[in-house]
Amino acid sequence: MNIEFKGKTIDKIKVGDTAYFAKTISESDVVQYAGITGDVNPVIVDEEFAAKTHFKKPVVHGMLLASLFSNVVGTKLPGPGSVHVSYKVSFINPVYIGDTVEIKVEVVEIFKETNSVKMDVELMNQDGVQVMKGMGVVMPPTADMGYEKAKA
Amino acid sequence: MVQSKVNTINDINIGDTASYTRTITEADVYQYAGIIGDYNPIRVNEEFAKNTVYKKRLAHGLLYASFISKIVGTDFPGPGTIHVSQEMNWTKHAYIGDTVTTRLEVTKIDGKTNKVWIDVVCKNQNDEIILTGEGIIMPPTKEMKGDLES
Repeated sequence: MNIEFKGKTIDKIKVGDTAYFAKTISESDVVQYAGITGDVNPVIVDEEFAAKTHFKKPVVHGMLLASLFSNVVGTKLPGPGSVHVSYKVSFINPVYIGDTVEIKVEVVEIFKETNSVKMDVELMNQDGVQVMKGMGVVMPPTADMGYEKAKA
Repeated sequence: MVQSKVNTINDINIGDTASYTRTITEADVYQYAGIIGDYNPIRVNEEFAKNTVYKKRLAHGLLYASFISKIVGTDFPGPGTIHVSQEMNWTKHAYIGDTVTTRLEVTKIDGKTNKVWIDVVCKNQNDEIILTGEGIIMPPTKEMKGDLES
């Protein structure tokens, strides 16, 4: 039962490796995220106010969308045991509750001496519109991380 | 009617600061993991974490980076603010139970495009810098301010 703990170490990562995660952003996601962060910006949680803005309806927190990078990094590429070093995101188009977004993460550079990997990040909505783009640097798990060893 | 002050670009000056302090609880980390689907064992598995250089479960870096959004969206500039871009550099890790203070400072203002540049620093309870970064935000417009204060 240790399959979930197998993140890729740097030797198993190649430039061009790609991973995805897609999710419909539900109202519960936005409400819970607002609760955790304390961000109750009315553009996001007030339908009446949002209707008067050029967005016309509540938008999803940009940093919630940016956080989807953490899903790919922490569960897929490199996977379990990875940590973040840096990340830069630009929010290009609004995302609304009920939209389905897909994040694509692609390895563009590998730095063996610092055990870090640079990744291109792109987020698209269900209409194929780019809503966010970014660049992140992460540290993949080291070979000594693992559940079997943890139990021993 | 909102409680927070709504600051349009005309109310903002270079050097203005705002901050927010929050203890990151286990509940925060687990709910956040659920929302984004990131059950990286380094965040949610104490046994796994013990066997790493970190020794204990770490909070998601993007969880406390999100406090930037909290400040700009509710405190300063306040309700109606839009996040345009954000850069984050994690200089140290935060553990579950750490108390993080996020502070931002206005470094540049462009009235033509209604954009404000902010420098961001997060520190832990020991006054160690755990995150630095720069962001660009759009403060609420005069129309938004009118709607929010009417």
